[in-house]
Amino acid sequence: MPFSFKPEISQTTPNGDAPLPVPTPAASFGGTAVSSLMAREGEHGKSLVQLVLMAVFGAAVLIAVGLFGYQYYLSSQIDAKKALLADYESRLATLPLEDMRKLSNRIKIINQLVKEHPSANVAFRIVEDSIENQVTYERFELRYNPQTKGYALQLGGVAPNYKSIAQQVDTLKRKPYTTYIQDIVVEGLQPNETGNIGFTLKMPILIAGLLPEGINLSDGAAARVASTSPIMGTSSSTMPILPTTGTTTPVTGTSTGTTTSPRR
Amino acid sequence: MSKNLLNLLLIVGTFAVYYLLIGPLYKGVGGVWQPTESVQSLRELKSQYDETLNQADNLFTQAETLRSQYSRVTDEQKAKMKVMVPDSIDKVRLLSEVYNISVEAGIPFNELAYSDGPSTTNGRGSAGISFTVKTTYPQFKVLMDTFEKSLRLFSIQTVNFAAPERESDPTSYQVKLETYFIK
Repeated sequence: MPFSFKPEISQTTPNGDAPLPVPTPAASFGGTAVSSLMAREGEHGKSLVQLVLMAVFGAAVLIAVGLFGYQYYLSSQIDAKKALLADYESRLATLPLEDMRKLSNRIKIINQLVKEHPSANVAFRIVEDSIENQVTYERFELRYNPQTKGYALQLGGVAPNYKSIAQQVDTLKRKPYTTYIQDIVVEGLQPNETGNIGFTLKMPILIAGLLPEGINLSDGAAARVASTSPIMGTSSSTMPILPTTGTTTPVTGTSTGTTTSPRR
Repeated sequence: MSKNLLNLLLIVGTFAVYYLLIGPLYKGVGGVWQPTESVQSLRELKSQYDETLNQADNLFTQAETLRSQYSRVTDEQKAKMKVMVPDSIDKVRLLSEVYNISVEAGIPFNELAYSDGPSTTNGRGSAGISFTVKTTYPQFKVLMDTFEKSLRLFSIQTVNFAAPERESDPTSYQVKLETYFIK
């Protein structure tokens, strides 16, 4: 018997009968069925990757096309806006802008100046209205202070006694004068050779933008009657240099004790 | 064409589209091709134009409002405003004007002087006028009233006076005024 590694199936039975036929399975479990399924899955996997790649490529192309379109749209929008802006410019050029600017500036400056416009007569009227009989003013100085943008009033005068000066200061510290004078400083209190007391009143005075007709001093006289302290003794007032009557007639008055009479 | 080659081409094509078209188009920077204006810069430009147009629109509305206001101001009013605050100050005319005020008030000046004002502030210049008058208090008030009601705007800088030695003497009043012009 020749040697072979391939075992030979004996075609005969041990007893010499013909071998029984081996039944062939209708379908093989392993073999061809498994390999064909795997092949189908492989085909399907490749087509999915390809599909995704194609979709990505298509999206990229679409985006590129979209960007071209968007760029064109933006350019046309910008051109339209440029044209609109040029139209605005041409329409603005027809306006008398320089004249309008000048007039506007002039009105602004006039408004500001009128708002700050001072009247010396307002200061005169306040001083006239508030003056006490026994006090005589000898010096008047009204000065604009550019730092404070306000006016300062300085009044130099004489009074027969300190009480009259205190009374004058009290009067100025009452309504309605406090509307226009908010802070009073008394300086230079010194008796002179005639026996009177010299003094200086310094105060900021709010006269900007006011007209003499526009100030209300109606409460002043009444306030003075109601609240001035008694003046002891009798004294004749000297002529104030700021008469209230509008004439140069000296204003003389006699204070007999209790109150100073209102001048208005 | 094999499937792998097609896939490779698709990948390469996608990258090529991105680097050669999308990137340069959007950012304006590309190795091979650069568009004149990128989408990004165009968008910025458009937003700037939008903002400018908004401002221009507001400006135009304001200008229209101003024009309607301007057209309501009559020539007479404009002329008066020019007297109130002129474009410049003619020294001689100003002195003449102030002198006329004193004549109108019936109080002649003892001294009259002109001085240039301080440097310009807020678009306006100024000039100073100082004068001395000897008169009575009521007449001085009339003079000041005339200045205060003058069409040309005068602002008081200082007013000084003191009682005279003798009651019969007139009081001497020193006044310094400031008048303005547009620079």
